[in-house]
Amino acid sequence: MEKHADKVIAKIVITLISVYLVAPIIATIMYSFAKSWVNTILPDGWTLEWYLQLVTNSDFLSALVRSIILGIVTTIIAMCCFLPVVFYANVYDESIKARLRFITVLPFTIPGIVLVTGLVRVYANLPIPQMLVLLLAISLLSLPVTYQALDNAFIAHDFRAMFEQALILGDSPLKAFVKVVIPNIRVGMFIAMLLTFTSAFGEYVLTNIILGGNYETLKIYMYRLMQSNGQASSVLTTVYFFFLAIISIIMIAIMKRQGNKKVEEVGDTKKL
Amino acid sequence: MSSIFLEVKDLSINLSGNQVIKDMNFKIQKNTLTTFLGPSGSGKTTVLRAIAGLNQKISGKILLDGKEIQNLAANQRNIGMIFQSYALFPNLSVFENVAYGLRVRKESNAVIKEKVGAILKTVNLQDKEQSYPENLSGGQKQRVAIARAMVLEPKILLLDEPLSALDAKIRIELRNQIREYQQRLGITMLFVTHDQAEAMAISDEIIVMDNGKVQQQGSPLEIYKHPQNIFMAKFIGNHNILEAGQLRSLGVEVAENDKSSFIIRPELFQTNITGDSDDYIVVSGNIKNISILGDRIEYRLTSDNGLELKAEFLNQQQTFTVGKAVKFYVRKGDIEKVGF
Repeated sequence: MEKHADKVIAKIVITLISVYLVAPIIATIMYSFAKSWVNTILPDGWTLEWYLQLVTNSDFLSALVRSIILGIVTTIIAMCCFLPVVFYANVYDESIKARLRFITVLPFTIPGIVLVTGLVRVYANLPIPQMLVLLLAISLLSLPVTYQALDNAFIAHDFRAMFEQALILGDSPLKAFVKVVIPNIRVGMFIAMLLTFTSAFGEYVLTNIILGGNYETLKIYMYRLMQSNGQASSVLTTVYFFFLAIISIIMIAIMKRQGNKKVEEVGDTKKL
Repeated sequence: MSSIFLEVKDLSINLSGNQVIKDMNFKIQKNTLTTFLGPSGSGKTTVLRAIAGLNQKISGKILLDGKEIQNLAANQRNIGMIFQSYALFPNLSVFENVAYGLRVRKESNAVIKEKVGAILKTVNLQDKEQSYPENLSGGQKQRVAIARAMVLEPKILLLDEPLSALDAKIRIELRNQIREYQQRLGITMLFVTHDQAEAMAISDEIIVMDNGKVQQQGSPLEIYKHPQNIFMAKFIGNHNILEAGQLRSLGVEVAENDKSSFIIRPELFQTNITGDSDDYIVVSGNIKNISILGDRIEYRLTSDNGLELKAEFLNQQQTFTVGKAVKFYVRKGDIEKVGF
């Protein structure tokens, strides 16, 4: 009897939390399709007009392109900087991993505003383009997710032996890296790239303070829109939500596939 | 007739500030299987990696087939290496794993197909060409690694504890196969292991290492019968090691100032005397413990003068029970003197 009561309470709590989290999303999605929704429980009618307005808005398209560029360039920088470091740490010197883990925690502990103030102070008088400062800063902020995803990719195999074997078989270090290491960490790399891209794509604080109105990204545009047009803002929020949802679904699917593959591998090995 | 093929001269290696290999010298003959034997941390793999070119921060010389190779990169030495973890490339099929080095050498597809097919047949994996490493057993993976190394016809094949991840039965099977390939194809092999039985079973020569130094080099029998120092006597076999005074207490004449140690191999004890009794010493005592070693039995006995000794006999021979008073005999000439 007591167990049954516990289960009912647990179900109520979970339902309330779900409603609390999902209701605003549903309301925002409904609002983005509403003709008008004032003082009524449900909207007066449904329309795609706000979506059409948004996709034909040059400010939106420009902001979208800027965010995509920011995401792509940050991903490239992060991969170029962190992949060799993570490779070195896993293959040649595991002792530096503890220090790397400490560094990766720093972006969590240093508030964005403190980081920006520091960056602006240090680089303001130097002949370095502000854009570059921003890109490097966002790359650093994405370090925790990028590092963890890449580091996990190196757990599965003895990459040191594989890399050295390729050298012994006659390859140069660069070719061995490209032909042996990259293909075997490609899933981890892809996840790291997606995570880096989404964190750069949705970055707001650094971009707004360092470049502000000079480089309006989707997040900055979204914020501006919220203050002027609530309905258009909800359209943008919906689009943004589905964009992130698709990326999350892709990552979950990849990880699930990897998980299934590992289970199959264990099964095969047991058979042999 | 064999000739010197690999020569290591005054090799010293520092890792993280510690000198792990100290002025090492040894020679290996062509078309032989030489084993590096030693306890964990003795420096076996470090030397192997230096020969392969995976550790180039060394001093000293490495000569392969008369040419100095210590300054060459790993991909320029034409040396094959097999790792403990197999190091197969998981993204490539068995065929592509074996073909990897041939593709690096830009061999034609026809040559690759022919050579890979032949070597896979040699290691009895011709039906696994299209399989991926994840679908192979440990023994099959190791044979793919052997095929991948051998297909390039390397000057020397280095094997770094290649059998340690396998279970006992496959281990014995595979070590015999490795020996067979080596003899059939006439490859010079340098094999690292910490397993004495493995080293004894397959080697032409054994180099025993400890603490970054060569302790002794010789044929398996030579090393077993005539260990050069106390480390060797303790590491190889199951010898009884006695101080001069202890030996004297058994009635053997040893000079008063002799500080040497002496070994008596357990299998040299006899239960009765054959020939002149003056040639023997007699050990009287009681059986303390019995261990069945398959085809042999090991008796641990406490001698009447308090020595703990081991004696081994074939288990078809006379058997004793714990506590029984016995007399064992050993030829004086079979007692070996060893240095420090």
